[in-house]
Amino acid sequence: MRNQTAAATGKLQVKQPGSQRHNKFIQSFWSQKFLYLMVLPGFLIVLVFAYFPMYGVLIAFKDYNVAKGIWGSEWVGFKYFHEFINNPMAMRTVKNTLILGIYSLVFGFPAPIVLALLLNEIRVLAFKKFVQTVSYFPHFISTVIIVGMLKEFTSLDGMFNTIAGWFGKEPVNFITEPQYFRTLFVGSGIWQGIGWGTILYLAALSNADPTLYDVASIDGANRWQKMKHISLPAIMPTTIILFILSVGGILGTDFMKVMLMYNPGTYETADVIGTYVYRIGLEGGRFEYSAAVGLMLSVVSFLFVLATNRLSRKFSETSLW
Amino acid sequence: MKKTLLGMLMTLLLISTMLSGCGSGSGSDTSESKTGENGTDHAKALNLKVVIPHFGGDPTGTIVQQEYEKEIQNYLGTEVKIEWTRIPWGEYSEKTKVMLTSGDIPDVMLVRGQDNIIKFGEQGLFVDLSQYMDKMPNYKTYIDATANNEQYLMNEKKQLFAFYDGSTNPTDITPSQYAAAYRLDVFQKHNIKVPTTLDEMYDAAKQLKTLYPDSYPVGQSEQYIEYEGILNANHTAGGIYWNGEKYVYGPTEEAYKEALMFLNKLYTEKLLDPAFWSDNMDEAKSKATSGKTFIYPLLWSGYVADFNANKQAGVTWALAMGADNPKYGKAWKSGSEQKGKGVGNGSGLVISAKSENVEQIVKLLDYQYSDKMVDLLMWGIEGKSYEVTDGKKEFLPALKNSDDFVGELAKLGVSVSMRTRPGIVFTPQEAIAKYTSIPDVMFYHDGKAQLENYWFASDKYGGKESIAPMDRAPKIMFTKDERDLRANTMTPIDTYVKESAVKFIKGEMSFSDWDKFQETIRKMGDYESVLKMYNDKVKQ
Repeated sequence: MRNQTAAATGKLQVKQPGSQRHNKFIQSFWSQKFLYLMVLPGFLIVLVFAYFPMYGVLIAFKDYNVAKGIWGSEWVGFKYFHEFINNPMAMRTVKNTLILGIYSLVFGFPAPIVLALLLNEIRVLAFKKFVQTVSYFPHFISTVIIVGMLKEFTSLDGMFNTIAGWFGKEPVNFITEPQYFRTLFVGSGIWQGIGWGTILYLAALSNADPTLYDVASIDGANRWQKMKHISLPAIMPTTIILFILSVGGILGTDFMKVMLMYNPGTYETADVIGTYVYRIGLEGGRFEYSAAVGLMLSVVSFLFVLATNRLSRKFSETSLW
Repeated sequence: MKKTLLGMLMTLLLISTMLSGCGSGSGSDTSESKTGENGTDHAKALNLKVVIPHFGGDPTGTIVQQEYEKEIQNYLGTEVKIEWTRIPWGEYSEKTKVMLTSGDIPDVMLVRGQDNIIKFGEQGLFVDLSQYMDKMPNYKTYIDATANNEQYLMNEKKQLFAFYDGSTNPTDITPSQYAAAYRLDVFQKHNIKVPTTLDEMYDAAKQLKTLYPDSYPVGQSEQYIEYEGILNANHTAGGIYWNGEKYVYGPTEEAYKEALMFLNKLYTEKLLDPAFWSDNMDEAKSKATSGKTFIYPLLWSGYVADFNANKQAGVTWALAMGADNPKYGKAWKSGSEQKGKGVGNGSGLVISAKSENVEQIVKLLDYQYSDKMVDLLMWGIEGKSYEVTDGKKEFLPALKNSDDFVGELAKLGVSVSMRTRPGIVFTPQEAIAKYTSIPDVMFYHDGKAQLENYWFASDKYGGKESIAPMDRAPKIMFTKDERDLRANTMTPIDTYVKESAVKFIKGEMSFSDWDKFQETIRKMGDYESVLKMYNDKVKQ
């Protein structure tokens, strides 16, 4: 078999002596053929499940008709984009989405880093394990239950109001007051994700060379200085990559959770693009409209990621590409 | 050489497993052809693939399902082999929407939403049943009995795509499954009058607040009910509705404003639960059984049995007709049912245009609308689930008196259990079976409370005046463009109205700004043109 291949490549070489580059490529391809073969399934999966369906995004520009199919349906251009942008609630939903996303990023992103750094400082292993386990738990609880618990905590005779009562505060039904919605949403988000988020950072921290800490101790550095000059730089690359990725998620608010948490009392701050499009689509499967809004959000999110990546490449050594 | 061969084999194996993973369709194909081969043994056998919802109980093997299968084979005169796929009700819409959008549907399936039935029907996915009218005598009686059926069920070309969700009420009662509810034991203990009017409701709430300062006497059970209990008293509604003469938009009416003013009065005096907008049954149930809530202006009647079943709490809730506003007369009841036969266009069984044996399938589905089959599915089998006394059917006392009446019905596969539903659902609901398949609850009327069937009680005490005009509205249908127009216009308006209503009730918006509120509604969108669209349809 090997002889045959050699003969085949040999033949090629004779046939096209000029295209040296082409030749090299084939040679290297052939010598690594099994590696390519092993890549093939993964490549196919991405192609079939991530790229082929993208063609479906065309319905955002069409009056979709099942019988005619995606390609055959009538072209309506930017009709659905116009419909969304021209509705009187568009600005508010965009604003709410952005604010919720930015708050989640600003408060939610650093939280696991801080926790990871603190955990890293704990010397009693049993306590560290305990804290980790406890903080992981909420991640495994479904959002429906989380919101149910949140409603319980924030109810008139719930935990929050009991505590506020000790300081002589009047009870408030937090969940129907628009001014508390963002705090509750972001706060519960941190509660849900903080423990799980530390995993990557703790892994990165374990990569920091222990001799550095010893050397720093000899030089008389205190714990704060060690954290600042050794631990933090050690997790910086991970942090930057995760940050770039999470910037892409600013517009992708957890629509399910908002749906569960909001009510007419909090529409003012809670009604995001996702929930609004859901309500407008209730009238009966408006795939085109949802696809159009979804596409719009994806494009903007992608631009966010690109911009952050560029900034990061400019100011640090880490970037996605 | 050996090594490479092995490597080659390994990678091939890898790829083949990957590919077989991708093509889940290929697996079912082979099984299909197998059943096909079996089918050829009985040349006439009718093979069917059916996708229907599952309501928690599997009817397979129950006596009613077995009888059903026997009956349809006798009726069609051939063997009928049905491959059932039952999808849980909660995810049914979503899952089937994907099937519909892809165009890959079974021979028979239940489709939810008239929009979908018309939309996909017009696109050629379903059989047009109007071609088979003479082949479905039973279903035709249901169609004929449905008012305005051409507009309500068919498209402009008079095509009919579904066997719609039928119901039959052989008597002439028009009951509702919603009522007001009161903590009767507390009302009696303190000698408070059970309200019959909104003013009395306010007085009762006030007395209860002084007795139980920690409580918020008036509560909410489900968000979707919104302010309906009060709006019903004022003869209006929270959205577009038929007022007996034409379609109007409730929030623009004086009666709607008065309802909000009443709620605002309750709220400012701390008689209305601040969680009125966020509570659902989970929260409501604990409040109802722990002395935090004493009054529900409107409640799904079935919940009262749940509250009272909590022995530890030891509470007694009683239903009553919704409180009236004397200015408007008797309060409307929510969703009162019709007498006679009819269908609702909320969902229907469709036949795939690609099916073979369409005629046989039509015949089979039509048979489900025959009185004989309706009785079998809804009542079960005489002597096993029901008995007939004086020409009236009644479920067996042994079942009725058991701890879990509905559970016993489910075990037999009686459709009225709502849990275990035999046949290709939805099959027509027979009203009396439905009404009598629930245990009696306390119902208060005219100074006394007694155990009653809440359906019958709401008919008896409500009378004809309590039927809301919107429950007898002329049935109209919109095209896709009209529906889009309605969604684009009404969604922002409804959003604004709902959040403003909360602000009016909480006092964050003043009623002196009502005109400004109306003006903003008009600025949000042209709801009048949507109303015109509705009313023009009626004239047609």
